[in-house]
Parts: sequence; structure tokens; C-alpha cells
Amino acid sequence: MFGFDFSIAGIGSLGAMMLIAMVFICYCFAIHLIVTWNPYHRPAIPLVFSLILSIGPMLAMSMEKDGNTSLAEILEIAFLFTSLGVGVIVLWMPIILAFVTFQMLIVSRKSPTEDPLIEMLEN
Amino acid sequence: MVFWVNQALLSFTLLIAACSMWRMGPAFKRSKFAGPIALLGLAGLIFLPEQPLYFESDYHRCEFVSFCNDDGRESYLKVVTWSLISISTALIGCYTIIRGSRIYAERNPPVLAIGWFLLGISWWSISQSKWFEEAYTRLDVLAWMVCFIFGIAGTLYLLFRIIRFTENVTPKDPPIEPLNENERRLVTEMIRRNLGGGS
Repeated sequence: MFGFDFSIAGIGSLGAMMLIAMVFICYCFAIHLIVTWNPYHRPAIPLVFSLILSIGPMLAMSMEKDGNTSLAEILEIAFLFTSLGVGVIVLWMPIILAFVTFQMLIVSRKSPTEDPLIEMLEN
Repeated sequence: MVFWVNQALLSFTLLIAACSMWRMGPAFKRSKFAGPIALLGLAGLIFLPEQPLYFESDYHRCEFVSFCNDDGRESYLKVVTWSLISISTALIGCYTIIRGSRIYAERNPPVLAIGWFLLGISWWSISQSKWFEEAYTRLDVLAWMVCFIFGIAGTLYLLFRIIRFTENVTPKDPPIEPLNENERRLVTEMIRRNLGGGS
């Protein structure tokens, strides 16, 4: 149908994929902590760590060429990391979907069991 | 005009934010903004702006990402559109199967059949994709996929340790009083109504 070659993005080594995974997860975690901020939460330390672990490699990569960086370059690298992260997760989709399909087979044939909690409440 | 790479990044960020807001708070009080933000993110991912031509004033050539040229935009758009179709049919199919099974109510065979049909569409769309065919026949891509999982596992462990550290340094609240008789009856009644069908 169509093709999408990861190697044209210049990411080829196995260690780089682990780094991409780390940046991707920390980026998502930082967004999660920011948008779910509430008075009962103390996310300052996890947020600082996840921001360092996500923005640090992006900054290092953008400064690799000439020691200078700009917002456009950082956004470009953030796009590279997130799109590669999502791409690899989508590549796992057939395996995940096989597992989910098996679970749906079990659910389709399942009959509800008696809940012991109800009996406990009655007594 | 917004550069399509920046719009794609912003839209993905909005989607992550919407998912987080959707799961925030107790089940009966979810954020009202999650749905609109998710729709905005999806629209931003699908309706990407055109790549400006080289003679236009806002022409932007990527310095690092070699695929953000015009062809790259088309490939990216196809992968995103295809992934959204496959994932959404799978999710709606699973939801329909669960609603049609005997978990929450009596078994409903037509609803179950619709759910399995949608799940079948998801499998069909995957089987039609040459992207997966290429990925699953290349050893280097398989190695990247495995390394990516190791990277996720390592990062989650690191974040788990950081959260444990934060919890340890956070001053603990004093122990709360046990429930009184009224509160105990209220909790019992809530559980009975939720599990016992309101009887």
C-alpha cells in the first residue's frame, strides 16, 4: 500500500532506539503530569526528571552540528522522536491485536460468575 | 502558515493531553475538555498544511529530519490515516464485543457479530499493509522493535524509582479516623447498588 523507511531518518543503531523510547515515554509522562496537575498531586520531582530526560537528548542532538540551536530545530527533533516512537508502537500492533483478539474470544464465550462480594454484603 | 512538522507535533501533544485528561479524577467526574481536545488533535494530524514551495517566503527546509519534504509529508499522512483507521476499528470492535457479551447484560448476538466484523476489518487493514510485511521480514527492524521495548521498560523502571523517591520524601498525612456507623452504612449501600443492580 505504502512505505515508510525508518532508516532515512538517520536512526539506525539499537542504542538510539532505546534512547528514542526513553525520550518518547518521558515526553508523554511530562505532558500527562502537566495536564493532570491538581492540589493532591506532588509531581514536581517526576516532572523535572522527565523534562530533563526528554528535552536533554533533543538539545544535545540539535547542538551536535555547530554548537548552536534554535526552537525550530528542537521542534523538528521532537517531531522525529515522537513520530518514530509512535511508529514503532504501531509496528507492534499485529502482536497486540492478536492478544486482544484472543481475549475477545474468551469474553464472547464467557458467562458471568457469582460475585462473592454481594453474598458478603447480604450477610 | 504553520509548518506541517510543527502542527503534527502539536496535534500529537494534544492527543496525549486529551487521553490524560480523560483518565483524570474519579470515574463520575472526568474532564469535560478531553473530548474536544482529542478531536482538535485528530483534526490537526489529518489535515496537515501543505509543504511550502522553495520560492515561498515561509519555505522551511528541515535540518535534521530528511523525510520532512513533500514526499515525506505524503508518506507520514498515509501512515497516520491508515493507523487511525486500523486502531479505531479495533477499539470500536472490542468495545462492541464487550457490550454484546454477557459481562454487563444478556448476550446480544447481533451486537457481538458487528463487533467481530469491525475487528475483522482491523485485521484486514493490517494484512493489506506492505509496511508490516516489510517490517516483519527485516531483521534490523525487528531488532529495533525489541530494543524499543527494552527502552520503554528501562524508562518505566526509572520513572517508578523516581516516583517512589518522591513518595518517600513527601511528609505523610496522619492516619484518618475509622468510618462511623453512618458512613459504613453509606459505603455498604453504594457497593450494593453498584454491584447488585440498584436493588
